[in-house]
Amino acid sequence: MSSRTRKGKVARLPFDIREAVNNMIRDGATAAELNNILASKGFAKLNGTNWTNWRKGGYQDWLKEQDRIDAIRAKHETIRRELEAGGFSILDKTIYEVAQLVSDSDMDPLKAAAAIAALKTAVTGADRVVVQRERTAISKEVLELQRKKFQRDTCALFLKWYEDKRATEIAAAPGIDTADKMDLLGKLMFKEDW
Amino acid sequence: MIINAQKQFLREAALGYLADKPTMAFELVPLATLLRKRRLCDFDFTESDLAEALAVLEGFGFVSKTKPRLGSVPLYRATAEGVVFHEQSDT
Repeated sequence: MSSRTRKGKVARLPFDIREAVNNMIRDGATAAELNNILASKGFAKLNGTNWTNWRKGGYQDWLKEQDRIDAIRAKHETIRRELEAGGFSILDKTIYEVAQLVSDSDMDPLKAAAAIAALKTAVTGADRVVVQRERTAISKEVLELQRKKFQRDTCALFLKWYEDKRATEIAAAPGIDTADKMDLLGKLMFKEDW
Repeated sequence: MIINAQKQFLREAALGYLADKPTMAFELVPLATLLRKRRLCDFDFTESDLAEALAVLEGFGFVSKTKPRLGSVPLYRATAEGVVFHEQSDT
């Protein structure tokens, strides 16, 4: 777009009229058709020179502006398509926010999409590691609880069987090694579960 | 020329307005006027800035641009994805 502000007859028309006029010129409208539009909106008709000047100047600027807008749309379309192809959704607010930030830079859209996908994967991976750590911590707690339960159960069993005559006889029996004593006590205490 | 943060704000304001009226389509100039009138942006922006914001939203699939059959000025409306995204952002 030209850096200077245009001051011609068409340039001074309101934005929406200029948009309509430019779109019509792109669609091949003649000066008479353009004047009809102006008249229908309550503006004075322009002469052929005014329209020729606009076609050579302001209209060319407008075409460049359209190209720029089209490029912006295409860039964001590419980012969205690439993300969706990778299984990511632009509806995800985090992805959208990163996509916005990255796309406002001059980064190539394909690289931008790849960077966003990599970032999202890394974040998801980090989340998984945290979950795994939590699971490991819970498993450790479970093991600790089981160990304490085992110790208490052992003490309770000792108190229960300490005064049992059959158990004390097995424990005090001479000529039997410890392994055999354990086997006999096991059968006595746990019966068919042993 | 607006800065990047304002660009993002303008996109959100435009999407918010269009997503609240998903059955309606707006031309660029009336949409700009509505955003200004309702003070949905607390900074000055041009129609060109809004056109750029709508192009981004269109690229992301949140807004669709259609040309009326008998007219030459395009209309913008929120897509289903745009409405969903706006509702998710609101909650």
